[in-house]
Amino acid sequence: MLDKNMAGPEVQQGNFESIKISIGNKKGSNMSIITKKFGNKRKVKRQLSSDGLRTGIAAKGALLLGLTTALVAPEMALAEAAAERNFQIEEIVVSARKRDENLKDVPVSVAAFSSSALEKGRIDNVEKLMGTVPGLYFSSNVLSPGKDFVNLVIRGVGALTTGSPSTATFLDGVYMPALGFDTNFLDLERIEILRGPQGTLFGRNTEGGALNIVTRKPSEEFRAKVAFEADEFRTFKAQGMVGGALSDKVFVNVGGEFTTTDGYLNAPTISALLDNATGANRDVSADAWRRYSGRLALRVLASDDLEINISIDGSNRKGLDGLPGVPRDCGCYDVFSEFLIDNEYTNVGGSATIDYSTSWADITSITGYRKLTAFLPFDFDGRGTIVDNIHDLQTNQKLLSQEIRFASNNEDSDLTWITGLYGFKEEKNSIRSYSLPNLAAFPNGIFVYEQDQFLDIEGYAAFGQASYAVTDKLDVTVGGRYSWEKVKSDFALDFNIPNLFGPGLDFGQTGSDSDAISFSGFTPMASLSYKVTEDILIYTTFSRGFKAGGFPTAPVLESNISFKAEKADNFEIGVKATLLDNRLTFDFSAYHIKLIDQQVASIIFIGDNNEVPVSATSNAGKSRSQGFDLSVKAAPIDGLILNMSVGYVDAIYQEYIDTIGTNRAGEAFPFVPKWTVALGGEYTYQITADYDLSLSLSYRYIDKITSGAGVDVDLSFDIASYSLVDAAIALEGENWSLTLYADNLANSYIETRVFNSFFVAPDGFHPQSILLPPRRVGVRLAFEF
Amino acid sequence: MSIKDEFQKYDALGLAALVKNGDVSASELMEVVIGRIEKVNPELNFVAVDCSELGRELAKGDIPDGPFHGVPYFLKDLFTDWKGVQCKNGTMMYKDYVSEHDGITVERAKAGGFILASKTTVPEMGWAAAGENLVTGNTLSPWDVTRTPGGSSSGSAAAVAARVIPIANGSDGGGSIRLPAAMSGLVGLKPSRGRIPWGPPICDFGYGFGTEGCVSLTVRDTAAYLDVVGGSVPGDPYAYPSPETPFLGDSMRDPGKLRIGFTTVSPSGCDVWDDAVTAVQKTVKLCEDLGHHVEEMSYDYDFEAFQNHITRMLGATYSLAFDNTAELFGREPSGDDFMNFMYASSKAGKNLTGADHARDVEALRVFAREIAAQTVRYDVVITPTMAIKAPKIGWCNMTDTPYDEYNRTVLGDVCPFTIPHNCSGLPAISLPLGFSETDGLPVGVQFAAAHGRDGLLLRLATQIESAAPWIDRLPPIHA
Repeated sequence: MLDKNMAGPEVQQGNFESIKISIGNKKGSNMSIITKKFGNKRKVKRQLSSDGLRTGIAAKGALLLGLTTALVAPEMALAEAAAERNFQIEEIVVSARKRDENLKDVPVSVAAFSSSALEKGRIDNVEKLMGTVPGLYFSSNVLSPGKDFVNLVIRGVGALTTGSPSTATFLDGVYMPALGFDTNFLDLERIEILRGPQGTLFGRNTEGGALNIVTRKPSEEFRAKVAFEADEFRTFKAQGMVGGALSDKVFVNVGGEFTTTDGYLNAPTISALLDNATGANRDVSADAWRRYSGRLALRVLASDDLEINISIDGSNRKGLDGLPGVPRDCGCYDVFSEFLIDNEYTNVGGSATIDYSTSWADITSITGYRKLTAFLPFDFDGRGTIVDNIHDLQTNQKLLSQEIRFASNNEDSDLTWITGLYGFKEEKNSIRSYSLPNLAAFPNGIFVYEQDQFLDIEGYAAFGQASYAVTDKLDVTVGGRYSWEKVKSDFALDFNIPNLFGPGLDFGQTGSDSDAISFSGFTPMASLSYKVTEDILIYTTFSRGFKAGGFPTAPVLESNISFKAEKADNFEIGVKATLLDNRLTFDFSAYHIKLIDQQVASIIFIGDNNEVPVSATSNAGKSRSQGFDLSVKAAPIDGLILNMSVGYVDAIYQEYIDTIGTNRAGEAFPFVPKWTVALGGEYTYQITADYDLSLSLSYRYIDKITSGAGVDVDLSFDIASYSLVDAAIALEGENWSLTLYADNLANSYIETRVFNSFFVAPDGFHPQSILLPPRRVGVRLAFEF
Repeated sequence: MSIKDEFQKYDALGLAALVKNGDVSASELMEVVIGRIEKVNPELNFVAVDCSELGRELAKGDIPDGPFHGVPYFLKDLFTDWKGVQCKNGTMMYKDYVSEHDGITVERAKAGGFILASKTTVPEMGWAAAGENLVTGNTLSPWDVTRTPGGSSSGSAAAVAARVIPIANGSDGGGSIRLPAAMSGLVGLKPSRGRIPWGPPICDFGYGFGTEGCVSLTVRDTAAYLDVVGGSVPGDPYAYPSPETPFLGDSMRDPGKLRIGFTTVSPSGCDVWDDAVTAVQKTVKLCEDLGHHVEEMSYDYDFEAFQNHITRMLGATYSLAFDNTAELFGREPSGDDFMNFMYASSKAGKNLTGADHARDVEALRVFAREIAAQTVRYDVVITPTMAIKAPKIGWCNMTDTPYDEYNRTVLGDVCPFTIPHNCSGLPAISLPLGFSETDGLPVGVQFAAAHGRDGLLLRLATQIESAAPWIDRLPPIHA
């Protein structure tokens, strides 16, 4: 029995995973004590969550009751808990406004996933969220079929962008350069997808929204977890993490992952080459790769008022990406390139966060550093019959940033505020070369030895936001950010088209260019939120996003011209409701976004007769996007959770004459599905007191899109709508789970975008499809201690 | 201008230009070269047949207007017939044999403007990576006279390395151009199978393993030599069409951006000399700096089985050569006619049945496809040329080393990187891109490409030669 003198437990608000209890004077020390006493941490946890005790004062009392029951009569309490569990919807704390708040209380359109939701949904990177999160998709670029030019798009904003993304990724509050969008989700607390401009608090490149990745903070609780996963594509994944206290003030988390896969794409041209050697059938993969990743986090409670968090992480993925894709309309999973070269992605970074509480404010300093590289050489034509065309693009991105924030900490005040300063330096280098000797349009080939763009960007910002509780129900929030950015371009070019104008008459450019430009912008926001009841929130928001201009990624001397900054004004109304004793949640927002000077990828022509197309970036005059996001979750019966998400995006150019003079007004943005729908359900059945069986089924629908800018060689391709069905069955024991899953259960053949190998025979029309995997059946075994 | 003083400034094409321009006569050039032979041959022993008098005579006559107009010719003395000149083949029984006709290569070399100056030493019957035989003795390396200059193009490599002449004929059946090129600091191209015809009367060596070629100081000399001697004749077992554009001009073109694989792991599993690994690593860096894409690869096949098939196939081949020799000279070889290894090899070959031999040949053809398939996933594959440094004279020799050990050592330790491409038939070139400061020895790096892509190798070699020139690196002993 516990010490009778021990004080009662206190609840810190948190989600299912993050819930902490304090018993006695030792803050946050006692999940482990309970576990030792009753030997069943999981059930106690369940009881705590099943009682719905995490919200509000009423819940606090209930927890006292529940825990007391457990202490006095554990078996009875656990039985009750088992009967009652899992009929409410998991609640999540988010930091959309740079302070921890319950998702349902935040007047921002947010989709959030807890670590358990990520794990159950097998969501290990952002690509898995496509279709699941209303309004979220991605955009690609004519320059590369690879991930180096993939950007996240929310509510249509960021489609066809070329420079910086319009939806930025943040890791523990630190901006990630563009390549970081594909960060591996390893040992996370949660992820949040914030829709709509987040320019005031998150800053640059968040016109569409932000992907906010929050890693698990080290704590005094000892945690260890290992998981193994395998699937029919010979994917093997091993994950492990361990965390706990080094002393009563120093905590650590260490985690790592290794993944290797043979992939789902074949390389028949190379298989045939090898098979011809001996006649033996040898399958050669076109997308076999391996990845290492790891994270080390250290948390120091230097004093009652001072907390320091330091984390470093890194990952390296090397292997084949199946580039440039499969021949379009082949209905196959075959990459016919006569050569395949390893692609490599490296992502290394870290951050130091210092939180210091004073009597008047909480002060937070965040220092971040990130270095990302992507090397993506590939066979440009994607055919075994056309040889020797290699395209190589190497991207290096480095960022050093510093933010300091001051946030009010008087919880009794009607006024809450936050203000701060931000500064960063970023290097974005694109090193491009290609050798295309076998082309139709240029029979003597095109040889580009360097087309290198080195961008140095620096910027500073000051921001502030304040909320005032006019009444118990009505909050007013206003905020703004002033940003200044300078972009410096150093560009080098050496390209040659032999005999373009006849024998001995070469065409080419060799040279370099330097230029610089600065941008500034003010991004205000204003919001009114009204609590109709304790569980129903309605709000309306105006917010502005700003994305600085810059220089094209792969220009020629004529086209290394800066493009303008882009601006997005977002008008939004929303309602959030938690009904039926937390058995039904409802989150709806409708928006209208005005985009001014939208940055879009395009093509211009050089040469005496304008015969050589090169990529460029231009600004569309005016565009707009409007639509809605809807998420509904329900727990109609015990053990069953249903969810539905619908996103509708209607995004069109209003004033845009492209670089070849075509008026694109009224045309929908490429890469933006009008509808994204997700339906899902999970049912958990208790087999015995020790075992649960969980069944889950999800359906996603992504509407048709167009892929490509639709300007000359950057052709526009219609991509059909598609549906995905994923299913899983899991057996869960006390500290382990075994999951059998099938992704793309219907084995649908799904094209997500098209890369056109322009210039290649017979007429520059040589499209390659980038595909999602076919049905993938796998198994996952996880242990948690 | 004194060509005697400035000889070293020129490669073979440079010397030919001097003669063509009338800056120097062919006779003057021949005298200079004879003088250089006389200066260093006593130390290195690369002359198998002294042809200086013939050379002087030829230099006075009409010389065809080829790319090598008036350039003294060093002809490897291994089944290379120059009518009226001895052809010893490094073999006692042939020591007084005089060729009765011109071989195809010789005819073409003559047409290319070469004038015979010397035939150069080889190991007995050409089967060794060191220049050792009973007729002319050991040939020594100008870099270190306690070591071999490599084999089997031993004399040619020693003479070119010592700057006696900038180019010399060679041939390669397991690495015999590339290995001496690597050990002596030279350019050594083994052309694609079928690029250069053998004989007559021989029209094949080792089922396509062997090919003629050269060692040279510059890449362009090798390119021009390929233009001169290349081109199959009707009925050749492995005919390959000559390119429409001469190699010489083509070699000056930019190679474009290449996909290059590299490995420093020996397919035989033997240890690789540290300096060879370093040389490959530096070459990889250089290629990256030149804008190529380079990534590590590895070969995966059963080298032990491969080696066994080669040993038996070559045993049969040498058994045939043994019989041909007996027939030519009308007597069975006696105990002093051959070194121990050649006896053992011939005997091993005779013990094979026809079915055994057919199986070996077929197995090697399958290996050829395997090695080629693993190579041509890249435009070029870079490896060390040698797994070991140039051996000391007498190490693993054909007199004392047991037959099995000799084969195992030569195939597994000396030429594990080179002989696979004699089997595959792919072109491969060794370039002198490394140098061992510890041993004072040059280090070769091998580049292999798809069949018929000799031109690509030459373009890349030209680019590398320009970026990392080796021409000024002189051995301690030189003319």
